Amino acid sequence: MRDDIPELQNKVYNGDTQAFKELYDCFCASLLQLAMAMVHNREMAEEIVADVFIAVWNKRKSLPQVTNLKWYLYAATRNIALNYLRKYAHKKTLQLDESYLPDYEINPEAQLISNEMVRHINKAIGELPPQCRLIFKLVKEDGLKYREVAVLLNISIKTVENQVGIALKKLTQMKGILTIPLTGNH
Amino acid sequence: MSNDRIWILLGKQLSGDISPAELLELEALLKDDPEAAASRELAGSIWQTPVQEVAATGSSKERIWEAVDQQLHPRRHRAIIRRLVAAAAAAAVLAAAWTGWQLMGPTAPVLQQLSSAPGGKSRIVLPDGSIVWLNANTQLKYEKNSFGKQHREITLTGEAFFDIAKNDGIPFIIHAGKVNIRVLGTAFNVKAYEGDSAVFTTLVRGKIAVSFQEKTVVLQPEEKLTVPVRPLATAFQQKRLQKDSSGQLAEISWLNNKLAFDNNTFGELAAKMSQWYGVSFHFESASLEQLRFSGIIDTESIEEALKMLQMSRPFNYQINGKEVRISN
Repeated sequence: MRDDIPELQNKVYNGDTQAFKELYDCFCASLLQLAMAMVHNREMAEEIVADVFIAVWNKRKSLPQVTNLKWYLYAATRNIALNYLRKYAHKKTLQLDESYLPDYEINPEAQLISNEMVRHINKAIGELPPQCRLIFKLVKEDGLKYREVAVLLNISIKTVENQVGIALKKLTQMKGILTIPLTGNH
Repeated sequence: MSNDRIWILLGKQLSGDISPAELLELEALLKDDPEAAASRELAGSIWQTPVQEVAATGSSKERIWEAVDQQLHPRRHRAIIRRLVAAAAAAAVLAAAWTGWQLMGPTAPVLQQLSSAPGGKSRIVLPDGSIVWLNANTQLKYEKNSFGKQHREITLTGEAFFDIAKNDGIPFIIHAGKVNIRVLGTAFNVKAYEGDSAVFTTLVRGKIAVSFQEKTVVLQPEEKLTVPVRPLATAFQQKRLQKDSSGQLAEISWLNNKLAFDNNTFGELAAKMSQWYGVSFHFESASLEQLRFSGIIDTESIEEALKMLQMSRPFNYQINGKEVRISN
């Protein structure tokens, strides 16, 4: 995840549409995944994510007051998703649907670790249980705090701790991983 | 390998969400479990392996952007009504939540707002033990439930002097307009009234980092930083300050040169003024001591101050060196 979010935030505040697009590119996939895990419907999830970004743009003059834009986007996605759920009254609680969780692929920009290793790890991540995979992804890839993930998914911090622990344990114990030489260590 | 606690703690360490106590616990556990210790390195590599999801790429991402992009140019496109309704609903949700979320914690945020009385100054002790002196017409806001626990962030409008309680774990952050000041434990003055053309930060002791847009400047003691905000400029002015003859920085003289009183009796006020001016008061009658006054003495001389008091209540005074006589 990019580390210049505050800079983007400031540019968007100043009406920079290019920066806004960059912000969108940075968060769209993650937010869509969260929305889909909540509403189980791709079309609705797309609308939710669109609503989040439209609201950010329309309220960009208030952006300086947002201290953590990343968390703000996730929280907004969750809240708007809950609103959709209330409106359509299909589901009252969150349930993670396996069919909408993404597969993982290699990020071609980062080749620090051998391709073989990356392939194995991604395969292993793909085999984690859906909830475990989503929580692991939110913590590791999206860099959310444990308490933030707990709030987003309406689960306890203990559950987040356990699921990340389970994911790590399973991944390190994947068959084959230990036999591949590590090249990404510093 | 059967110890799940190790994995939970490893996860917390890798994500940077681990407490010092948990870190100690992890080290102890790893010492007793060589096998897990060997996996630790592997877990670190896994953590650093970048992954990217396939699902949202492609058509979804483009479709969403199309809908969003229409809103960037509202005059060029007439958006679909359904979209507008949805956006309005979303905006309403955001608008309602926006204020509270600026200092968001997982619990419902309670915004604590502290103000100095107009024309008066106040001393406030924050929940973390930090002390703040507010100058006149100054407001301080922070999130009541999480302040001092998850964060130490406050928003300042006006002028205040901070004596920050040391807490290496949670930096103290002051938002003054578009300028952010980050502190670990120190004493300094911030002047950021709404009408001011710049945000002025004066450091007395310790070390602070002031950031504005993308720039950050570290201040040394007795340095003053001026960040122009009207018109917006990215140039900082950083200068070393001279102490005045009394060994004080003029920037924080307001801390000392105001005597505020609110509906105090003349007797109480006389006690304050005695200290203030180094004089002694003598009242001709007890009833005079019961007169009540409200106001502030700023840089006035004692004579000017007494004349000011005379405007609200009738009395006479006589100054003889260090003695002040109050009569009817």
